[in-house]
Amino acid sequence: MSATADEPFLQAKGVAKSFAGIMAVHHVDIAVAAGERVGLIGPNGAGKTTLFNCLLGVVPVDRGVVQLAGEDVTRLPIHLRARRGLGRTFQRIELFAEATVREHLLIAERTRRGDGALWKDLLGRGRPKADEIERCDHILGLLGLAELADAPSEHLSLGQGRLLEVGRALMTEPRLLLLDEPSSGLDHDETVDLGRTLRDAQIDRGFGVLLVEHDVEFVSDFTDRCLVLDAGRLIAEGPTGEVLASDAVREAYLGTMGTVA
Amino acid sequence: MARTRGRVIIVLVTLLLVVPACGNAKQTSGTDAAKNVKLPTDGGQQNRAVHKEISGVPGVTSTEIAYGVVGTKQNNPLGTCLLDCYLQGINAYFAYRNSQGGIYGRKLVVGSVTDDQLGNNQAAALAITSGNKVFGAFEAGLLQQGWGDLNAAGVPTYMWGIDGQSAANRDALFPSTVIGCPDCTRRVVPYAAQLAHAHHAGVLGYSTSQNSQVCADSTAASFKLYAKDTGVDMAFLKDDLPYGLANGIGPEITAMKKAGVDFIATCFDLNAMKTLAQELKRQGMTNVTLYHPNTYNQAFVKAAGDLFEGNYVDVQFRPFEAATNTALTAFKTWMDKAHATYTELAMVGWINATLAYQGLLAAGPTFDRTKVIAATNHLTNFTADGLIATVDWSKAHTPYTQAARGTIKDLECGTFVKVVNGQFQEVGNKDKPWLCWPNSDLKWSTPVPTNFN
Amino acid sequence: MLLGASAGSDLLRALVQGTPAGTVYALLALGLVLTYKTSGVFNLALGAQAYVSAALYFQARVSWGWPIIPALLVSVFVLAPALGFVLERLVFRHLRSASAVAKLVVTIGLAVALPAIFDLALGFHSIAGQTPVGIIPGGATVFYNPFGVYALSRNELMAVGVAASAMAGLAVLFRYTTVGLHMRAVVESPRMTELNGIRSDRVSSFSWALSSLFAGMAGVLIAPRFNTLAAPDFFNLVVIAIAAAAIGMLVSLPRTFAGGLGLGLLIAVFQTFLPRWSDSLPWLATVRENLTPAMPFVVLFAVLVLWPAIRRSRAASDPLAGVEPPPPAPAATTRSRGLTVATRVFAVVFFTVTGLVVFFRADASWMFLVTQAVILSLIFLSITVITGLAGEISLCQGTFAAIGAFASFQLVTHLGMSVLLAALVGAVIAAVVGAVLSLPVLRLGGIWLSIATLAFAYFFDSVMVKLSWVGGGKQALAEGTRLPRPLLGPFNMNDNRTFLGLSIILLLIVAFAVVRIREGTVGQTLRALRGSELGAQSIGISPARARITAFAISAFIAGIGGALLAIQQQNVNYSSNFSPFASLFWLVLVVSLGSRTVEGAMQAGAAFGLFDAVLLKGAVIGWLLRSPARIPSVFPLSGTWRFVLFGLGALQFARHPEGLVENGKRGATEAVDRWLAARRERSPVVERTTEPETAA
Repeated sequence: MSATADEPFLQAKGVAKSFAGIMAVHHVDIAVAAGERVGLIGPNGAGKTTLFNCLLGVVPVDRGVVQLAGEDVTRLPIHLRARRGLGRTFQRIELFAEATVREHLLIAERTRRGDGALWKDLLGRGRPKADEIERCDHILGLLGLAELADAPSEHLSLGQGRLLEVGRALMTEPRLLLLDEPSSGLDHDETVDLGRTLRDAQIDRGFGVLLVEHDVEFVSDFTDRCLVLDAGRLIAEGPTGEVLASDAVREAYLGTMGTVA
Repeated sequence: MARTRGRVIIVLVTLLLVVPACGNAKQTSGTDAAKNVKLPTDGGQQNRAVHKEISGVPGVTSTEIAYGVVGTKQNNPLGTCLLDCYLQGINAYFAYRNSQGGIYGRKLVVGSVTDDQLGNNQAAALAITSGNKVFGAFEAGLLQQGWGDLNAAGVPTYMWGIDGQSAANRDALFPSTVIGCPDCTRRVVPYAAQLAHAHHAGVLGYSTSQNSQVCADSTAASFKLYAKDTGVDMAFLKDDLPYGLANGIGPEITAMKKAGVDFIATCFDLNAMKTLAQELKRQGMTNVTLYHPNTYNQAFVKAAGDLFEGNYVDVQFRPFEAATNTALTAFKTWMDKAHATYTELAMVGWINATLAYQGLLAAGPTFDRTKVIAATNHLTNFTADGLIATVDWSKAHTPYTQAARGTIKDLECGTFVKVVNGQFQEVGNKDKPWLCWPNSDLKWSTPVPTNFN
Repeated sequence: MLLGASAGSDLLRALVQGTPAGTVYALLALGLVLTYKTSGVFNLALGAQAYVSAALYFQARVSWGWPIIPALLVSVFVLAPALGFVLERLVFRHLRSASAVAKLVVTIGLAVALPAIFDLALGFHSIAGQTPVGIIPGGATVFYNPFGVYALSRNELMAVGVAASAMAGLAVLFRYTTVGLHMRAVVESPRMTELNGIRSDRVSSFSWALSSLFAGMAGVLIAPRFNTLAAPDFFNLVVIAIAAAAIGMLVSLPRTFAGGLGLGLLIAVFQTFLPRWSDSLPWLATVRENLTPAMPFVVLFAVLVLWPAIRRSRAASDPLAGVEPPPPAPAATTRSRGLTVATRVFAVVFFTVTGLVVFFRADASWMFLVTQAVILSLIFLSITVITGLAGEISLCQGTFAAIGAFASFQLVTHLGMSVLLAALVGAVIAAVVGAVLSLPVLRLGGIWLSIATLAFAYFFDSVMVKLSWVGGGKQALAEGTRLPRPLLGPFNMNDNRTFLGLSIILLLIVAFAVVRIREGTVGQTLRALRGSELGAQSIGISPARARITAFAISAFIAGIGGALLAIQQQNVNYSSNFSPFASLFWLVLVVSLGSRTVEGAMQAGAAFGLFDAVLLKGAVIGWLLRSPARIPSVFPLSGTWRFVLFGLGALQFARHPEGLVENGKRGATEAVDRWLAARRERSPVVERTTEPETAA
C-alpha cells in the first residue's frame, strides 16, 4: 500500500455529475485519510447522495478523478472499489434476505479471502472453517450482535440491521467506511447507541469513516472534520465544530440558496 | 473427515464418467431374430381356416387376435381427423375379414385405442410393448417417437407412412407409404405441370420439417432435370418457410408472379395450401395450378369454395375416384356398412390392416410376432390387393439415394386427382390410375398408366 | 447494386404488405406497455389474452353461427376488458410490491394456463379448413389495391383502420379525460402519482382492462392470418410485441406504436429483399434460410444487447421499485432436529420402497415414465440453480438441454464417441453457451435478462436447430437424430431397468453437487446477490462473475439432462422435448412446486413424468378401488389440465417463491412442531414414539 499517514486514502478531484442537464455535483474535491472520521452534510438536494454514489462507483462521473490509495479507480465498478478497501452501509437497508446474521459476515469474509471456487464447493470444502467463524464472531461481539449470530436477518430491528451492515463491511477490512445516513429511521436513543458502538468499533479497527448524515448532533459527536455541500458545490470544510458554527452553513440549511461562493 | 470424503466422491464421479468410455450399446431388437426365421410352408390362403393352439403369444387367444391402435387426436395442430378416421379403416377391414371367418379360426380385433395427444407417443408405444395384451400395433401419430421402441420390442407395427426417417432400417415397422429415397427426383409432378400446360414452375417447402425441405428440394431437382422434356422450367424455389406461414406468403408470390410462375408444387400441409391459394387470388394469379401433396380431403377442399379449382392433388393410394377394383369395392362396402366417410386416414388404416392380415397369412397357423415380421418381410409384391403401388418388403426398409438409384429395379409411380367443381376427379385412365416410369432409367418418357390389381 | 432496377416499387410493395401485421403488432405492444407502466407487470400472458378473445370470436362465428356484431361485442368488448379487470383485481393488485421478476413468472403461469382453461371450458379445438374469419363480411375475399402495387384484403384494411383508431383513441383518452390524465401521470412517474394521491388502484384496473381490450382486438384482427387457430401462434405474437415495446423503451407509447409497425415492415422488407441480396452475397445465403422467420427474435435480442439506453436504464426494469417496501421474506425454516431426522427417515423409506417397487415390478411403460421423471428432475435442478439460487428467471433451459442432446448426437454420429462421454462433452458445450450467452445479457438484469433468454430460445428454435451441425440437417434425414444407449462395463443400458439405475445415480450425483454448491461459497455468493445486489457489490462480490458461473452451472446440468433424455428416448426429439414452450412449462412447473430445493425439482420431475399417467388417467383412483375397471368414466381427463393446474400454481410465486409444496410442507412442519411442543409440555418425560408422517 502506498498510502502513508499523510497521504489521503480516498481522493476525489474535480468530480462532476449531472442528470438531464442539471448539475448535481459541481467540480468537488475531497480527500479522506485512513483512520480519519469525516462528516459530509448539506441540505436536501445538495448532491450528497450523488457524490457518495460517484465515490462508490454506483453512478459514473461525468468529469473528475476518484483515487483510492493513489490508484485511479474512476472507471472501476463498485465491487472492485470495495476490494480496494472502500466499505459502505446503506440508508435503505440492504441485507441479504434469507441469510442469518453470521452468514452475512461469512460471505463477506469469504469474498475478501477470494478463495471460493466451484471445485472446492463440489468437494465439500466450501463450508465455513473454524477460523472464519471465529473472525466473524469477533466482529459480531464488537458490535454487540453476538447473541443474534444465528438469527435470520429479517428478525433484526432497524438499528441492529445497520450494525449488521457495518459488521458485514468490516469483514472486508475496509480502510474507509462510507456510512449513508445511518441515523435515518432511528429514534434518538437508538442513534446514540449506534454512534457509540460505531465509535468503539472504529477505535478498535482503525478504519476511516466518511459519514453522510443530516442529524447534525450525530455528526458533531462522531466526526472530527466536516464537509458541507450545497447545490452540488463544496461550500465549507474544516473541523466539525467550526464548520457547524459557520454562517455559511447555517444559511445553507436555512434555505438561502447559493449565495456563498 | 469431510476432505477425504470429498476426495473419495470426486474419484467416484470421475470413475463413473470415465468408465462409460466403454462404448455404446447396439440396438438389439426383436427383428434380429426375425432374420433367421425360415419362411413357413404352411402359410397362405389354403391354410387360412386352420386353427392351431398357440400359447404365450401376446394378444392371441383361441378366438381373437388383438391389435393396439395409437394415434393423435387431442393437440393435433393440423386439426384433421387422424385417430378416429384411421380406426374406422382398420375396423372396416377387420369386419370385412371377420365376415369371411377371420383367420386361423380367430377374429381380428382392436384391443386398445390410445390417443397419444401429440406428445405422448413413446409412452403409448411402451404401453403396447409392455402390456403384452396385443399382438401388433397400428400407429397414426403425428410425432413418431415410439416407433423405435415398438421395433426394438419386435412388435409388428403398421403405420401411417408420413415419416421416412423413423421407419428407416427398422424391420418390424411397415408404413403405408414407403419413403425409400427422400432425395430422389420424381417425374409425376413435372408431368402434372406438363398436363396443366404450364411453363414456369415454383416450389415451396417448410424449413421446420426436414421432410418438407428435402421434398421441396427434390421436387425442384425434378423440374430441373426434366425441364427440356416437359417444357416447364424451374423458376422459383423457397424451401425455408416457417411452418404454418405465420408471416404470410405475399413476397414469395410476388416474386413468383414476376418470374411468370404458372404452376406451384409444395410440400405443405393442407391448411397452408389454403393460405397459399388465398394469396394467389389476392395477387390476381388465378390461373396458377397448384400441386397439393397432403390435401386429399374432400370435405376440406369443398369447404374452400373455388380456391382449389383445377388444382392437382397427390394421392398415396388408388384414389376413391378411380374405377373400383376388388379391394376398393370392399373398402367402400365396409366403410358404408359402418356409416363412415371415405377419408385418407381410413384408407391408410385399411391398407395397414391389409398388410397385417397378409403377414399373418404368410406366417402360417402357428404364428408369432417374429414369424409374422419375417414372413411380411418376404412379401416382395405387396399391393394391398391393388390399392397401392407394389412394395417389396424385403428391400423397403433400406433407404437409398438418387445416386444409387440405378440399381433399384422397381417402378417410380405416382397418382393424382384434379379438383373440378370442388370435387376430386380422376385425371387419366380410370382403371389404371398410376403413372409409372422405370426406376432404373431416369430419362424422360411417357408414363405408363398402370394398375396393381 | 443490391437492389434491382425495380427496387423502388418492390420496397413500396413490401411496405404495403407489412403494414397490416405491423399495426396489429403495435396494438399488442401498446397493451404490453400500458400494464407495464401502470402496474409494473411485464405481461407475457398478453398473447394468451389475445388468443382467448380470438378463439371465442371464432367459436361464436363459426360454430355457433352468430352474426359479426354480437360475436365481436362479447369476445372483444366484454370478455377482453373483463378478463383484464379480473386479472388485475384477483392477481396483480396483490402483487404490487413484488419484484418485477416474480410478476413475470406469474404472467408466464397465466400464459400457460389461460388458453388451456379456455379450451377446456368451451371444448375448443382447431379444425382443418375452418379458417378464422375477420370482422367484416367478405374480409378474406374482397381486395383493394390502394397504391397499385399490392392488394389488401378487407380484413387487413380493417386491421389497419382499427389499430389506427385505437391509437388515436388512446391519444384522446390521455389528453382529454381525467382517468387518462391520471394514467399518463402514472405512466410518466409512478412514484410522483403515489405521492400526489392519485388512486393508482383505479388507474391500474382501468389500464388492465384497456390493455386486455387491445390484446383482444389484436387477437381478433390478426387471427385471419393464421390458417388454424392455435395458442402457440399467439404466444409468438407477444414475443414480437415485446420487441416492439423494447424499441419504444417501454416508455413512449408513440414510439412503441412505431416499433410495432416498423417490425411488421421490416419483416416484409426482409422477406422481399433477403433472397435477392443473398444471391449477390454468398455469405448471406448460408444464414438466409432461417433468418426471416427469426427476425423478431433477432431484433429483440439486438435491441436488448446493443441498445445502450436499455442497458443503462436500470430503473426501467422496475418502475415501481421503492414505492412500497419489499414484502417480508419468507420466514426461514425452523424445525426441530428430531422432526428433521424423522422426516428424512420417512422420505428415505418411502423412496426406497417406491423405488424398489418400480425397479422390480414396473412394466416398460411405467419404467419409461419413471425414468423420464428422474431425468427431468435432473434437468429441473438446473432451474433450482438459476432461479432458486441465483434468483434469475431463464426461459431457455430447454434450449440448453437441447444443446446437450444435439451435441451428444453429433459426437456419437460423427466421432463415434461413447454416448455417456458425449453427454458430458455436450453438457460442457451447453455450459460454455450458457456462459457466453450470459455475458451480453448480464448487465440487463431483472426482467430484461429473462426476455433475452426468451429471445435466445426462439432464435435457437428458428435458426440454429436447422443448421446441419446442430440439428443434423439433411444428414439426419435418413434416420433422424437417433442416439444409442450406453454400454457401461457389464451393464447394457438397452435394458430399461439398468438405464433407470444409471439415471437415478446421475440424478443423485447432480443433486448432491447442487446441495454442495448451495452450501458452499458459490451458493452463498448467489444468495447474497439475490438478497441484495448492491449489498453484495459493496463487499466486493462481482455480480457478473457470479451470474456467469450460475448460468454455466445451470446450462451444464440442463445439458447433461437433455442428453440423458435423448439417450432414454434414443432420439433427440427436439420439437416435443425442447421447444421454447417446453422451457416455459418447465419453469412454471418448477416454481409451482419449489424452485429453492432439490426436493422441489424432484417433485416437479415426478409431476411432469407421472401426473398424466397417475392422476389424469385415473390410475390412482383405480388403485384405490382395487380395479382399473372401476375407474370412473370421467377419466382419463384431458392432458390440458396439466397446463391449467401448474400454470395457476405459478401464480403464487410472487408470494411464496419457495413453491407450493415447500410452503405447504413448512406449514405442516410448524404445526407438527407446535403439537410436539405441546405434548412435551404436558408429559415431559414421555419419549416420542409416533412418526410424524404428515410432514414428509
